[in-house]
Amino acid sequence: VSASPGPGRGSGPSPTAAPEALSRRGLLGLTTGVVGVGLLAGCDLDPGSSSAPPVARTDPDQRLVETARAELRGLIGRLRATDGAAGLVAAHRAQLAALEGRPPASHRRRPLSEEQTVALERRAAERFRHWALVCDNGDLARVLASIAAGIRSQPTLRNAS
Amino acid sequence: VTSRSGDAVAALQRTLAAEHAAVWVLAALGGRASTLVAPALRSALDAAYAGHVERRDQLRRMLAVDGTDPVAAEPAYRLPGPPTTADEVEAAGLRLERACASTYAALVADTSGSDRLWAVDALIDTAVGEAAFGGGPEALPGLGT
Repeated sequence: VSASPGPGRGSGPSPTAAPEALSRRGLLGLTTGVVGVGLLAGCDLDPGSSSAPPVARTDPDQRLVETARAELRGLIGRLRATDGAAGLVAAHRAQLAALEGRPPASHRRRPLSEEQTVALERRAAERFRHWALVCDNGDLARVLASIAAGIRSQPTLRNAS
Repeated sequence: VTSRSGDAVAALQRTLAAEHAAVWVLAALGGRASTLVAPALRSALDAAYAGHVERRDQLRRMLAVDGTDPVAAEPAYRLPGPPTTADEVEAAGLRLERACASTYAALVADTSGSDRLWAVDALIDTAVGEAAFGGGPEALPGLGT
């Protein structure tokens, strides 16, 4: 199986909007990455999808992206001072970058307890899952769903009861 | 009868084809693991097999309710360089799960409503389950980064 990207996801204009507007180019650069699995033959594990490219970012999606970035910034800000949370911070920084957001300014916050960390991460995973469902744009939904999955797969939540 | 777009139907069929392959490969890996002293790996393969069988059957029903004829499995699939050791079986399982995660992520993009919800949850479950095959946590599962 070669999981190659499908057609129609690498072109199209990049809408320009307010600072930190989500560019289609940025999203596509992420979502069309080739996954070289090469495990099977005679089957189709092609992750490419064939939906028509969106013409422009709609306002509801833009607001949603800003809210999602704020969620990740908040997590990063609160986890920076927490022992054993470096992996989570790194994951959230990568997720924020996928949404083309800037990391928060560094300032002292009180460390979180393990229970607080688990609760915050669970809430964030649920929020991203919900946002993946309600957003209009398919490419954005894919990224938001991946962020939800990325949060849920971190050891902090995987190991929590 | 639902009102799915042609793109959504095609994406569901691609995902079903992937599930057929996943079920076949996991059965083959399970057969190989049964000869190895690797109880944790066998448990992981059993759980993954059950999960993919369930998703395959769900996808068949989702397509059939729409009046679509679900795509059938291929007669057989090929495992390049059949794994022989426990580490190789584990690595093959992880590659399979990561490929499926990419497929589910693509399905998210091409669907809406309950179909997208199914895809999102499949992506989440698969990302979490990758750890059973030694997969480290990923920030963005299914995106091939």
